[in-house]
Amino acid sequence: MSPEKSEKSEISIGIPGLIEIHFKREKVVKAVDVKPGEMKVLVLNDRVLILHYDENTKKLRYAFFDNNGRLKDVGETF
Amino acid sequence: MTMSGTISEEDVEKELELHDQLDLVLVLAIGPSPASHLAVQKRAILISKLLGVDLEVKPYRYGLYSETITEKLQSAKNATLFRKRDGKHELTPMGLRAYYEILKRLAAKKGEDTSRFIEILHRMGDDELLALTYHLFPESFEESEIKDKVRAVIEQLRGRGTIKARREGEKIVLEVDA
Repeated sequence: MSPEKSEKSEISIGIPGLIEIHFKREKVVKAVDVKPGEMKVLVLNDRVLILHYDENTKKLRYAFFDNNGRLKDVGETF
Repeated sequence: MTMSGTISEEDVEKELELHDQLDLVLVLAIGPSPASHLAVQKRAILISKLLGVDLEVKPYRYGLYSETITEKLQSAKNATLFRKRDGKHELTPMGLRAYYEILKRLAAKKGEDTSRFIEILHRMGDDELLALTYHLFPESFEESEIKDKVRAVIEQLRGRGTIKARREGEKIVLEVDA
């Protein structure tokens, strides 16, 4: 994928490494870091992505809200 | 407060100085409309995590629970900001002014993202709110009496294809297709 536009968020990089979020509709890539135990929120065009790096399971957990504020998808990394 | 009873910006600023960060998290968690104890607990846990405010929680009957939150909701010291009426927690007029002031400060300090998420929290029904907190903090399931019901909601949301996750070496890539 070669995004037309890319921006780094204000969040610095650390464990567990770079997390890239590719917003396919806008062709925007945001790079964030979520440290163990941290929760962060990203908003693009009123859609919201919540990221939580769960210290216990060592997984990045996420939840996505659409532009109406409805919870639409949840998951975690392997 | 002025003679007419209007709450000035200066009054709000003075009031905020009297409270700790967790009190202000509770103002954000209660929000503009009366809220159940369960909703306030879950919202406060999410908001405190997001803002990096220390909060001790433990698994309980309805997921993660904080005794500190319950104590603070009942504390006379916080009666200027919120109160309990008809079984629900609600902000006082001062608390409501404080709510919008805190949102404004958060937007200035952290950008609009945090404020937007807090607004979304106030529109979520109990089922979604429980699903969100249980999913993000799976220790919520440990002592839960409602875990089967919550798990069913999570499973309906899981893997809808809106987000695709993959690893590229050390990097995690999330593709948002919506």
